[in-house]
Amino acid sequence: MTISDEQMIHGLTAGDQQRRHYEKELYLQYQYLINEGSRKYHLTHDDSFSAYSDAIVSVINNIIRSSFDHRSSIKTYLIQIFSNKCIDLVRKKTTNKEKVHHGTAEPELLSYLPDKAKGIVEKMVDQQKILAVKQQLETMGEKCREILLLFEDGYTDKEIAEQLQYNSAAVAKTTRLRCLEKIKEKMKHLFTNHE
Amino acid sequence: MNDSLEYIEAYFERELDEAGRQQFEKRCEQDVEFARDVALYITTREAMKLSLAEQKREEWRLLGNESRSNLEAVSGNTADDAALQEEERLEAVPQAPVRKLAIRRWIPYAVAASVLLFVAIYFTDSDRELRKQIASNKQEELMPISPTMGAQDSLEQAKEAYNNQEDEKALRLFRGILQADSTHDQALLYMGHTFWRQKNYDSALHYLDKLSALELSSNKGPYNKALVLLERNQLGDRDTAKKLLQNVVAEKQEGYRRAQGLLDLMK
Repeated sequence: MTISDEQMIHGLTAGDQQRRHYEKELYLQYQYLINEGSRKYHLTHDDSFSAYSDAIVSVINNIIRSSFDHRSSIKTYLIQIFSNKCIDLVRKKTTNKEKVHHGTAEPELLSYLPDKAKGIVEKMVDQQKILAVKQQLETMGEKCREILLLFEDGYTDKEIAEQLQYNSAAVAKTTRLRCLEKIKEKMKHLFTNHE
Repeated sequence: MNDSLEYIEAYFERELDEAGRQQFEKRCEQDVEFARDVALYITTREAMKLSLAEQKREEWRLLGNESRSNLEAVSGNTADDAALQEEERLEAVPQAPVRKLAIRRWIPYAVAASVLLFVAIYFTDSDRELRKQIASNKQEELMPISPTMGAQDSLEQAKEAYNNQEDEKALRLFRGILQADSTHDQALLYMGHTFWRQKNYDSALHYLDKLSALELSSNKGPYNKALVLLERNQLGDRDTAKKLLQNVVAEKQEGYRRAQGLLDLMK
């Protein structure tokens, strides 16, 4: 049975288990696009699958953060994002710049800063550092990883506290910031040695 | 220190008022130390985003495989079969009415059917025996992993998760190990085992392939890969598995006795 856009948005913004359920439903409802992506853009199944997964993540984030403007249906919106991601992949492959440009999309948070501040901070952020921090994140304790990823997934501290059974949102937040602090301590050398 | 992170986070979560935002932006321009902290925060958030995307991708890959298997189980066909049937249905030419056959013309068909039935029974029996053996060998391969005494590293945590059947956690931890060392043979083997346990054959084969390519004094990759192929049993899998098993036996690699047992049943 197809889930309507209204139901989908309601489910995705309901939090916790409902959200998980609707994320899966959204993925399954349009997964036929993976084959279409392969066919239309001559991508491997794996590449098309990656583009589709990334597109689903974007759609979910935009719905949760209320940046989905409802001007089109979820399906149209998803197809647009998915097509763009497929085209990006095709471009990377055909221009043979994959090695140089892999994953070089500008970090979203940089765009929050005004030009001058952005120019200064931007010079200190690069893909290698992101990958090094990611590697550090993978080796952290399960608790830290879980709490950080839940936050990144758009859950509030209150929801995180409920899911991970902390006493309050404040405790969850303190724990989360402590985990970020650990990463900062381990990775700060990356930001001081070469500057 | 936490205050600083909390402050940076408040900016990006848009919790600061206009004056606070402007002050923050000015500090980025004038205070290099602070700008570095902001850069590190952005880098960390970006790394978290990548990790999360990977985690979701893996969850959805499994979900996709699961839904495909369910569809196949319901229809009794593979997705490819279904597509083929649909194509055939669409392209089907209206058939002529069936003519009655004379009794004499039945005889060769009856003989052929009997021969086919005999062959089918023979192969079903030997196939059943082979399947039993594969299941038993799989069970042996997927036995709980022994912990390394005294060790407390992420490999141990991963092994524990694997033994507790916490597959998602185990996969994440093994993946973390492989990100630090892509040739970690144990992590490759157990990634393969975890996916195999979930019947996610493609991913299992992916990791076992990587393991097989390593030059080790004792490599379980080829034998395990052969077992996965035999269990998956797609077109061509049996032949590939047979070659792998023959190689395992010829080179007396890990599992060669069991490989020989399987080859005997495949004759």
